[in-house]
Amino acid sequence: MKRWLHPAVFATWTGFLVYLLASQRYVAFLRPEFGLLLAVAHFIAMGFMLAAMIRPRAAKMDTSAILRALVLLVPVLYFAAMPDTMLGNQAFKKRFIGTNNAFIGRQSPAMSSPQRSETNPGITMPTEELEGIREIASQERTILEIFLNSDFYKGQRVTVTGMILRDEQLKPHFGGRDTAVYRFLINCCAADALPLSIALDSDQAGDFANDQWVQVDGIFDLQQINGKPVPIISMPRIKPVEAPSVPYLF
Amino acid sequence: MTGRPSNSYPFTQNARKVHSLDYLPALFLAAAIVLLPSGSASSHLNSLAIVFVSIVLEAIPFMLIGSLVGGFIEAFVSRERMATLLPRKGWLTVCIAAGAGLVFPVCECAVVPVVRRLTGKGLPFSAAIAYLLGGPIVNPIVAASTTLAYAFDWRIVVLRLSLGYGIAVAIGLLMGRLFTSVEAIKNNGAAFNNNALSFGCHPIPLEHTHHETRSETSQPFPAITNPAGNSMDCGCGCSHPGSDGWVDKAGAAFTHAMDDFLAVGHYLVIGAFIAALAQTYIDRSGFLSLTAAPVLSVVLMMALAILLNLCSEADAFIAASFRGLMPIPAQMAFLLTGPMFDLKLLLMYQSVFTRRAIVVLASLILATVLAIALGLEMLDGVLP
Repeated sequence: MKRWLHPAVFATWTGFLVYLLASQRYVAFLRPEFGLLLAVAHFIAMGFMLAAMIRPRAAKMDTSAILRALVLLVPVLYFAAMPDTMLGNQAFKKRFIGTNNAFIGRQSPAMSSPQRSETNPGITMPTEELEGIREIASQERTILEIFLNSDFYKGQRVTVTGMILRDEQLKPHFGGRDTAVYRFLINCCAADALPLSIALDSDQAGDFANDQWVQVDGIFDLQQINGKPVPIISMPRIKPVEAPSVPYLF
Repeated sequence: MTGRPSNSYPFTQNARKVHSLDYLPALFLAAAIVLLPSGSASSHLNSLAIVFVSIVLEAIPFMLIGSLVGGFIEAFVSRERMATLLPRKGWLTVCIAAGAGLVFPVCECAVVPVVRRLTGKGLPFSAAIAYLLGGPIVNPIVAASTTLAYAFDWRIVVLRLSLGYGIAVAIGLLMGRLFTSVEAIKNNGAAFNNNALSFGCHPIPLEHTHHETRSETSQPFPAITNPAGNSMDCGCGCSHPGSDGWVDKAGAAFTHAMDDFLAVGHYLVIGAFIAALAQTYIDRSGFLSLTAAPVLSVVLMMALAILLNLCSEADAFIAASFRGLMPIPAQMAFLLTGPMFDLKLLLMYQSVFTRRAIVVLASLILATVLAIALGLEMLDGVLP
């Protein structure tokens, strides 16, 4: 029985990684580019499983060794047990340190990549092109795109999708406003997720629960609050939408 | 020369220390079951689970690859070959090891199993420390991510890499003066004894090996002996037949790598869990209200780096998010501390080093980073 514990641990991890890759569920935790690394990892885990199975003499397996092997299975157990794979307002509140961090985020790799429309993620739009079309009625953009080109979108009608949040904690950062639409930007994994948020100049948000996915349509503006530019959507029209398959921005 | 060597007591001591740590997996398993989010509506527990699984998923490919690299080093690189690859002068080995990440880029999760095997192959302890500390900072991937995070502000990039290199060299040399491999490295028999191997290694008579000396700079290739008194050029401390066939060696590489992963992996998981707890319950904005004194801001950012356990390839983005809120020296303290010492690494180091060595290493890292950050504070105006 003990002889098969280590092969079972690696078999579990191999299966887990195959499942994450096949179902694409790993993007709920990691940047999509990590798929290649997970694929490599799954082959190595499989190799370790074979090595554990065919070794002529089993490793010494005392209680400690069994406990250590069981520890390796805990992440798989947590994955299976978690009711929701999306970070929400609890993580937002712990990580939010004002809008400044988001503006700094414009230098991240994702932000320096070509612009992508939320509705047409396959279509890229170079900045030069964007600059030539200042009169756009209402455009579905990610919060990330708006942060990237905040000066361009200033004064324009925009449409963004994100989760809604009403909290007193926002007021000092958003000039007394307690409502924002937000999404998380991931650089590597959910542990480094940065909240990107846009304040909403509206009372309509009271109709929605925190972390409800919404589509917000309104006029984007940058206001100076405490000497810092704060992104705001005024006169927003808010409607509930389904959560996107990939909740994070990369 | 098969009797127990006179200096074998450290192995017994180390073995006791290994067993004294065994409460950790049991405690962790109990805590993990209590905090399991199943059926719970708690957003805290859900966040905890997401961050925990994320950290493990991000780190595990690097851990597996690092273990495999270590396994192949074990199976294919003999101690003699290692000796020919390294400079004769110990300090030069340290300097090269600290910058080796430029050629062999590794993150802090992957570097631990690699170092574990390299020390078994006779890499001087001081050079192992230099690679352990320098590798996760002085490498092109970290340089690129720091460049992007700080909007091509080359001063930050150069500062991070050069300071990381300097710290790695300085602490490597200092640790080499303070400890011998036998005193500092746990895998000189005791830890590997739990993972008996069966093939792919080459026992050699003790009289054919060099003996450990106090100064590593004068004798960089100490003998690795096991409690039974045998000396193995594989360094695993187990008695098993050798094989010279390529296929057998590849098989041995996987077996060694698997054993390394099993020896270090549980530390990664436990460290990730503690990091997830910290990420879930620590309010980052609370740090900002305590930044009036420059020393305090540096200390707080160092504490944040230790608690968040971020990958060195991603931490620059978090550090950059504090731009304008924290002074640059405090951000630099964050960027230097995290890849060298955090909660996850603290646990993972226990698979390689003795407790005393870890305490000294951690103290040196924290003291050096603090001193450097405060030095940067004094250069106010020079920095961007």
